[in-house]
Amino acid sequence: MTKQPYSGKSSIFINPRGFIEQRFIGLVSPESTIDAIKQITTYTKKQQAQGKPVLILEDLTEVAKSEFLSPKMAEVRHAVARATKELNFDKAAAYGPLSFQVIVASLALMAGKRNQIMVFGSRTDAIKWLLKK
Amino acid sequence: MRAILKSLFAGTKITNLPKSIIIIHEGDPADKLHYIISGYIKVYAVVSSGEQRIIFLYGPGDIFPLTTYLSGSNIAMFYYETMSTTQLQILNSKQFESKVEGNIEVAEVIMRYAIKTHGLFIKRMTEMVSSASPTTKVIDTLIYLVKKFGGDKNQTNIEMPINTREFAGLCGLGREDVLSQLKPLRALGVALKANKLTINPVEFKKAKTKNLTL
Repeated sequence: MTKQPYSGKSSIFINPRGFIEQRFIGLVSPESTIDAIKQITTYTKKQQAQGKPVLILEDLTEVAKSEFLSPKMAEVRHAVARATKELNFDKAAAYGPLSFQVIVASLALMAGKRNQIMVFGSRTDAIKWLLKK
Repeated sequence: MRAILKSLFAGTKITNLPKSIIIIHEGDPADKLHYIISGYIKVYAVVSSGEQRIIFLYGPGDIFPLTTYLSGSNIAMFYYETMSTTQLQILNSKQFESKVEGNIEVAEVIMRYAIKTHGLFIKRMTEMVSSASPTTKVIDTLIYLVKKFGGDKNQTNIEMPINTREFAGLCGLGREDVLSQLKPLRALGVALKANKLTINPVEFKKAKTKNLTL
């Protein structure tokens, strides 16, 4: 199978197991990150409107490169930080390379949501924690 | 960056530790963060022969084990032991979280520091297990030490409390190999004697620039 070229986008859907799954692919750019925030906000509100628990799985395994800490991403970092703080969800699990685990965990600390947001090296561990009652 | 990291530990008690104290054991939860005021910490694994294999060093101004604390595993994979008398400040996870909460600037500094440290860590691991010549391994290790502990341009000598066995482990070599490699490096400002490694970063950098790195 031919591998799709990196598109620098994120996709989002409701996983059949009941959680919101967001997948980042390619280069993390200011535009793609802002898009991702809009997507997750919309899906979160949908789940809440249906009275369902808001569980989020973030797949960061296919992010090609992060410029998240570069000066040009300063505004984006602030937007992500704000969204992390303001977004109303029950639990969020992110999995991917260690550098992204560090970024997500630091944002969780900043948002005061260390117990609600956890990072993992594997998808299996992330889903196991997310679905644990 | 260093000033912000230091400020997180402001007001915490200073702990004085003698040499050879294991602060974190392999398998311990990474639930405390340590800031080094003075002294050095070696990070090592115990290999099947029972010997220590030093992988990384922390010195004044460093925080450990920050990357492990922020990672998913949250469990120490190595031992962390004092190499000299060491002064530390310690924060538990609750205290640390309260310092970072609501502060994006601090969160960014933590991200940068943890990612940079992890990058150095991976580079070290790669260099240690590489099939490079003993000369290259010694030079790579010295470059790592100069980069990590020779930050100040005007600094005279870097002095590390490390013995030959430990330095050999850090290079991924045997003791005899390291001793023979170090001899010609004396002229370049590198000396290991009486359990102390001295590097003159200025001389060493000059030598490196002149491609005298063998």
